Amino acid sequence: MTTVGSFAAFFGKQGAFKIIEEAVDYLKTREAEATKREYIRAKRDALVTALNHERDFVFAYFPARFAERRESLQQFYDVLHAAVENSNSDQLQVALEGILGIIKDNPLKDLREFRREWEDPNSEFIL
Amino acid sequence: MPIPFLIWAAAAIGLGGSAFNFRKFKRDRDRYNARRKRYERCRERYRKFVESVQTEVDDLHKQRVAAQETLREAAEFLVRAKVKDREFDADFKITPEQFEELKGVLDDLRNLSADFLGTAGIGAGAGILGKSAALALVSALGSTSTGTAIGGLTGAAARSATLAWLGGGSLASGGGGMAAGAAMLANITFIPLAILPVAVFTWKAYKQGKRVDDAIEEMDVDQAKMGRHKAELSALLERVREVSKGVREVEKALKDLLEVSSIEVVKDVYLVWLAAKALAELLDDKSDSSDDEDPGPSTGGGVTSPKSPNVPIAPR
Repeated sequence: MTTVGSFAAFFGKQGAFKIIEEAVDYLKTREAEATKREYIRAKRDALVTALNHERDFVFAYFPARFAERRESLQQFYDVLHAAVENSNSDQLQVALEGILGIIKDNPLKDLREFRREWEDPNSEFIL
Repeated sequence: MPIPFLIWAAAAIGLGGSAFNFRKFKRDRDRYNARRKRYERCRERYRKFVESVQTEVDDLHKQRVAAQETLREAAEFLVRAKVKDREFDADFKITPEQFEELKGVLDDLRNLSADFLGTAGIGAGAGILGKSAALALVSALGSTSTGTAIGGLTGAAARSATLAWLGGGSLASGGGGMAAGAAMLANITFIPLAILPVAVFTWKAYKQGKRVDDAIEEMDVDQAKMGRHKAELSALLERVREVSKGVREVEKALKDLLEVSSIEVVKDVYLVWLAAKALAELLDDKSDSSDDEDPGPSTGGGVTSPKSPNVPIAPR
């Protein structure tokens, strides 16, 4: 006797049909839910990719930007100390203006700008 | 006849199913543990990095507080030199506006407060990290996707949670959701009782696998967030070091000037004033980015740490 036959004998014909019907319904529901789950998963993958790209951008951009500023600042520091040593007011003024000009321009504002652009779907990035 | 046959069939299915499910449970557990181990290592590195950034921010704060003392000395020097009564314009071509500014700087020096560098942002970030200590493996069966024990729920919430549990957890946590749970419930009624334990065990193994998948995905997302945050903190750290060096160099110049300057020599007084004014500006927070409503990570002003990543979610 087959398994289905056993079920049929045990539960009756109606019961066997009911099982099959419920099984089909269940599989349909499961399929639909699996699709939704895939969608959630795809969204997560996209989020991870976006986060990694942001990280790569920040790591690529800022060290170079700060290195450039560091170099310029060092030149002004040298002028500053020379000015103090020579009591040269013009030189001192130039050095201090240069230092303040660079330091007061906060490069981290670029990060904000980048984020704004990044979140704008119409923006294009050329890497 | 059918009943003994069913019992034997159920026993065979039960044995085979148990072996299969046991292997699956073990495989999923190993997969989870390996990923979790990598994740914890990454999290530890991240935590240490945040701590080091915070230390440097604290150092900068101390440095700025110390620089105020130098500024106070400069202010005293300028007061003793009676700057307000001097006629600098003859020697240094100071405009009336600049002279007013000089007087203003003297007033500012007296009013400078020590709280110019708010470390609240970083502190809050560390607070969020602190919560990670509460991240234990939430693996107890029979908990909802928010980790609440189903037994603690009542009414519709209890029903939804139970259906979701039957469906392998909520959709967000990789399960089949309430709909699958309801369908499963309908089927259970017709499944022969002898096979029910195996079916439930299989279902549990499947659900456990989904939970592991979900937990691993959560760790992937969280790790990516940590990576991005770390990159942003690196930029912040560069900025902290830049400001720190700037303050140090200008303060040194002012100290050197104060050591050799005389209140009798107009030029000396002027040089001290220039350096003191620059240092006061450096200690001030008005960088060109401070007018933005959403500051993000910045320094030279209030240091705001980017949001710390969410805590990871372990299999529930």
